[in-house]
Amino acid sequence: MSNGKAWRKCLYENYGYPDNYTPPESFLAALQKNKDLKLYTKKECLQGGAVVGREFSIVLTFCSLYLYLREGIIECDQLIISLSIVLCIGYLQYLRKVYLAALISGGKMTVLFLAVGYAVSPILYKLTDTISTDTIHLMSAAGFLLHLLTMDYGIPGPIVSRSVALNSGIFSTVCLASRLESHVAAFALLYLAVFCFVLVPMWSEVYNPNPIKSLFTALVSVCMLAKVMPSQAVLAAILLAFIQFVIPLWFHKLQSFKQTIHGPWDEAVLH
Amino acid sequence: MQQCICMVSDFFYPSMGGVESHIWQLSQCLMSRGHKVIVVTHFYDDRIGIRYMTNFLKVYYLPILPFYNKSILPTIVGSLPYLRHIFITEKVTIVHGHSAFSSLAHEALFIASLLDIPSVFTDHSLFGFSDASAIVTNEFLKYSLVNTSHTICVSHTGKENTVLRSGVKAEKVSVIPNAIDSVRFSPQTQIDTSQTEIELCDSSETNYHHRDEDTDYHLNFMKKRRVRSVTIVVGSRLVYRKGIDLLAIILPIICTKPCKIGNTWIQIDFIIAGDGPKRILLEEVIEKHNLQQRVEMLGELQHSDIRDKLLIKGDIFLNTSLTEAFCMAIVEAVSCGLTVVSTNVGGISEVLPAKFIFLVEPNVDAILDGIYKAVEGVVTGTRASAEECNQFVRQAYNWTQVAARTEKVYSAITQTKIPPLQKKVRNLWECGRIAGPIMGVLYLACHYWCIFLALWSHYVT
Repeated sequence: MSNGKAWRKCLYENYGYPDNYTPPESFLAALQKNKDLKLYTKKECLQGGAVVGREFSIVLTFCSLYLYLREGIIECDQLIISLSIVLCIGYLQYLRKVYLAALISGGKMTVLFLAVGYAVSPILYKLTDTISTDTIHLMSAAGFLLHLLTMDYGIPGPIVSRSVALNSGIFSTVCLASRLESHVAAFALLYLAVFCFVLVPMWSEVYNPNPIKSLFTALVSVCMLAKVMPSQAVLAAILLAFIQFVIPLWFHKLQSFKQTIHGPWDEAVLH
Repeated sequence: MQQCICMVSDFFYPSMGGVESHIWQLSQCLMSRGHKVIVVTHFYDDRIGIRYMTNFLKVYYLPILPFYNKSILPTIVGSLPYLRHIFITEKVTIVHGHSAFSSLAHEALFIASLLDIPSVFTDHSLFGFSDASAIVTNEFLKYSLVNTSHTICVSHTGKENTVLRSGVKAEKVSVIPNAIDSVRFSPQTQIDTSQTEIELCDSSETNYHHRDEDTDYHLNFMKKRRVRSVTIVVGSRLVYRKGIDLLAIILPIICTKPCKIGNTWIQIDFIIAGDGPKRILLEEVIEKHNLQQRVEMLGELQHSDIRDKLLIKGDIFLNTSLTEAFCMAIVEAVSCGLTVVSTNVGGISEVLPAKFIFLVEPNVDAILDGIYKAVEGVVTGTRASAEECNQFVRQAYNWTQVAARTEKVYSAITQTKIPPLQKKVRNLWECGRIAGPIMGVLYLACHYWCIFLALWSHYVT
């Protein structure tokens, strides 16, 4: 305060003040904490968990149906017929939300695919015939893991890739199909794979995730798995409970620790 | 009192830039005030060993390989033997590290505190807090600055940023701005205009005649239809953080929209100097809107050519940076008499008073508004004269003043007592839960290493 002038926040005046002086009221005056912070409600957290949990349940259901086919608990004809019935019901439900024209083109593609798939299935199920069963199971598990990692759960990110997700799902199917006896069984598994990895995600875009519905799906898949592999089913149940309930609620609780600092030093954001 | 100052940084001649010229100018001014200055940096191409520069400035080019972005590998203590030897043989009394990006500077500060030499750190840039690289760098800065005697920042915003990042006390941070050579960056004079004529003459005769007719015709055309030409100059690296995306949107709008002030039509031209990844974006915009006659791209210019080939050809200097601690370019522009239009980010609002600069928000509409206001100011002649601008810069931002203020910092820190070893280790220990103790132990280990080196050199020689 040597020459009586007030301190100003600039670099070309302030003669008389020492260089390391900043008046306390102006130091960090422009600091803002937690500006534009997005906080998620409990409902949003649980919905997010539901989306991921549903995808896990679908993969588990697929695996258990493959095991049923292999053990002979269900016949391949039964699987194909029941899938077709569910497909028709699904289309009728979808019809209520989507235009008829799209449905007809979708229906044509399905019929075409089924025909081609059935024709190609003898080759398909011999593709990985010579590889040992343990390797097959490991490769398909890796494929499913990749599918779950790259699946689109509604939030954009660098590893989200729908094509990689679909391709790894089909890759796992082709691996597993070689352990089945007849080519009709292989076709049934392929039909199931297309149903789980192509049609169900398309359908879920139209229907929003619901924690109750995905809980139901989770229960169904765990029960199906329990019939062939009881101990793994317990692990699966614990994992699904974690994904759908424990982790979303924990995330919601941890949000109170969020802390961001904003000020004039921030890089400007272009709109 | 005469000091022996050691400037340490990864960035020095022959690399050209803001930090490099800052170290150079500051060293020269301190030497003219009677101190002894040496500079330590890593080697560049075949410049390795000891070199002497102007006024016997001794520069040590250490044989340490640069690792990433012209900085050496951050081993924390890898350069200890070199730096310890230099500090002891040169009888260094102050170690001055420059730039947070330079790992050699941080190592030098660490080693200076080991040898009980007072140390100063100058921070030239602003950092964010949210991305992973920023978090890691800020942690390192905390450890680096905890045992440093003093810190210098180039603007008040920079001071706030450094205090938040590193947790040093506000009293230990001084604000000393950068400066420029306002004698070299002077407004356009008679000598410059005649220089341009000589350049035109030097080209082949046919070209000269052609150009002469062309320019004359053009000037007459413009005079008859009362068209005035205003040139906007842009000089920066063409990267994202300098706001080149904003510039790419503004170029076609200004060049295609007719502008009239009073009775005169204004033709606004651009000259853009610099190179970088965003250059292709600007060239595409020029192609798309056919602006080749209105926008001139000069490419990368040497620092020595900036005034002659860029600044004196313009009336307005445009700066669209998204973040800037202290923008040297706008001070150079004002020193040459140009009006400045700049985005109001970082420390820019502290640099120039309102009569020399138009500050705008970093969005397209605000920048356009600012440019038109500046053009109006230039055409109606209501802006400050070129001599006034140069005088202001000469008085406010000159290297003698910066050197004097830095000298004050040096004398203040040589008079404060150096904390004992326990206090320094305790400072490091308390910086972090796990990394703090690790750094403390490392510091002690280096302390014993220094004792070992002292005994070894005593018995060997």
